[in-house]
Amino acid sequence: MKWVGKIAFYFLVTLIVFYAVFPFYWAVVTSLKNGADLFKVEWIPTSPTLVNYRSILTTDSFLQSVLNSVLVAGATSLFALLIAILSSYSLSRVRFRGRSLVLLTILSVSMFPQIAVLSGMFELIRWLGLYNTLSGLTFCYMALVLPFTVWVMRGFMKSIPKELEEAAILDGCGPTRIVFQVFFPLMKPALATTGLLAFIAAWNEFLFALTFTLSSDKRTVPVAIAMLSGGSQFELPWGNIMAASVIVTLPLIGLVLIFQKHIVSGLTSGAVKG
Amino acid sequence: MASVVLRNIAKKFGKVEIVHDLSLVVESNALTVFVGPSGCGKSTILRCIAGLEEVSSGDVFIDNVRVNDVVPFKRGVGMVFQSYALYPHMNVYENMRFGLLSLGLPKAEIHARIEKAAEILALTPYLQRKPKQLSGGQRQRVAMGRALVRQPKVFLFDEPLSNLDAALRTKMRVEIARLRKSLGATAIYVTHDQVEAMTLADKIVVLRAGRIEQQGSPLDVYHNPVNRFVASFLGSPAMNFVPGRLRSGGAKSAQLEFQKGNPLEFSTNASFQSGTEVEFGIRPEHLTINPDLRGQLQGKVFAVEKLGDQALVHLMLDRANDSQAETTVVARLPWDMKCEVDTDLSLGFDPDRCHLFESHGTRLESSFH
Repeated sequence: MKWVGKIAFYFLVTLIVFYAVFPFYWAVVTSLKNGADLFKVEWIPTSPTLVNYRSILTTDSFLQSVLNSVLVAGATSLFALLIAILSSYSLSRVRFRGRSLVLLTILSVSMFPQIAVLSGMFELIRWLGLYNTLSGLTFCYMALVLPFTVWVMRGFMKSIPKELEEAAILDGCGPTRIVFQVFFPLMKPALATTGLLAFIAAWNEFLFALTFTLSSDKRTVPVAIAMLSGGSQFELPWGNIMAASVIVTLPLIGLVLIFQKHIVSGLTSGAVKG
Repeated sequence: MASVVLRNIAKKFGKVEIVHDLSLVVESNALTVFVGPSGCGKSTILRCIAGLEEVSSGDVFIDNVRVNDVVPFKRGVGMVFQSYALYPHMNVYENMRFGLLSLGLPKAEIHARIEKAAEILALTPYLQRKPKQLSGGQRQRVAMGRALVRQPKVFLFDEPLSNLDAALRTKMRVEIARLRKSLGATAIYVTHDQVEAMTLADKIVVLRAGRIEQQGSPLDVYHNPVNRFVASFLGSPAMNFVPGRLRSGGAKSAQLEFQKGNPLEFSTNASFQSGTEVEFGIRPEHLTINPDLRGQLQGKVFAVEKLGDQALVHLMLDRANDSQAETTVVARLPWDMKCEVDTDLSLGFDPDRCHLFESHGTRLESSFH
């Protein structure tokens, strides 16, 4: 009877992989087709062509928006990590009145749907003079990603043994040195994971990017793709859209592959009894 | 010369007071052991000395300087944690150097100190290794090295051997004793292991529920416990306690009745009422099979543990009447002792070896004759 379970297991695995990968596969297939081929159902394109990639990569505004996305997502994850590591230290290690209230507030912020804060955020952005700027977008994305980065980092920091901090105190470290010289190196796996999640969140974000930017040179990739238009208003350039989608997915896959070994690692082994 | 002085310190966590109005003098160039059951506050006191906890009231002095408001780093203490608490991302050399960097010493001095500590602790071949590449004993030595290089006034050990296996623990125990003697350092050592306490200590401080029960040299505390708690805490197997009753027998003398049979005569300066309930304590190693001794305990063997070098014989004492509570004693007898479970046995003891405790636990000054 063992093999029945095994077959069921692999069937389920196949199903899940298919469900997750098929849309991307379809995008790749479509991006390699041109003209009337686009509307034929085929698993492997009979006459693959790179014409869509050529056309999208020679569009200056698209390249500009890729650069914008890199800047915004990069800055967002960098600042978010910096703020999160400091706040998670105080939220996990320093006892102060109202600590759990702060934690609950942070958690509840992440419950608001984006659309609910959109108009308020718009006013704020205007008031700060950040409308139609990349720093304005970064500022908004921080509000999106900070709640979960702080929560994840706090959980990780709590798991670092207290003795390690006390040893550092006896070695003459203040909070800053404890955070950056003792905790930081131990938290690389958490930093890689949360940093990556923050990067992906900022990279994919559409609603804020659409609302808070006006000119095409300030657009990020999701908006730029949505704005791609064909020869007439009745034509959707599917080939170009799919080629663009594939291109902007690649950096994310690359990042995940690079940080993979950090994400899967137990760096704390050896700190305490083990 | 006193090295660490605690004056009337108390420590509260919220409303719960863990340490009550405790005063203690820790002599320099000696190893003082805090021993007690878990929750007695021994680690808390150590952490108060280190500065990891603030005392709620009272004063802590190190080398005659009041250190209540001094940060841990400036107190001149080196601490060794139970879990080692090594920095996992640094190698052995960097682990020892980390604290020295805060002291702002010249590079050559730092290097010399680490080299010397590594040599003393036999860590020289491992300086470039990460903690996870070391064995438990080696990690423990690195933890000591980290305290050592700072040349502290006082070493603080917080149950440093609890995480090691039995064989290694014995080895490290000797190591610590040898190291401390050769350095002539002052050290405070917290443990719940009475073997560590007995073997390492120059002075032993027995704690219970945040109070000092007794302090003194290990042998003095072992042989002259001030109360039933100290008597029962030190020694393994623990001291046997047998209920008895006192009967006045003229000036400065009394009789102790227990079980049936002949009461024991003894002299005492204490005054008591005839018929006072007491307990007398006798250590397992002081019970023998010798019918000539004045004290005799009759009972039935209910378990025999052969340890190889000795046999622990558990005896259920015969009761005078059915209303009396059941009392068991354990005797440490020679290994080749012939004795069967469920047979009757009589154990003899020298009355001079036993201690009398009043019902609230205090020891009664007495001498048997």
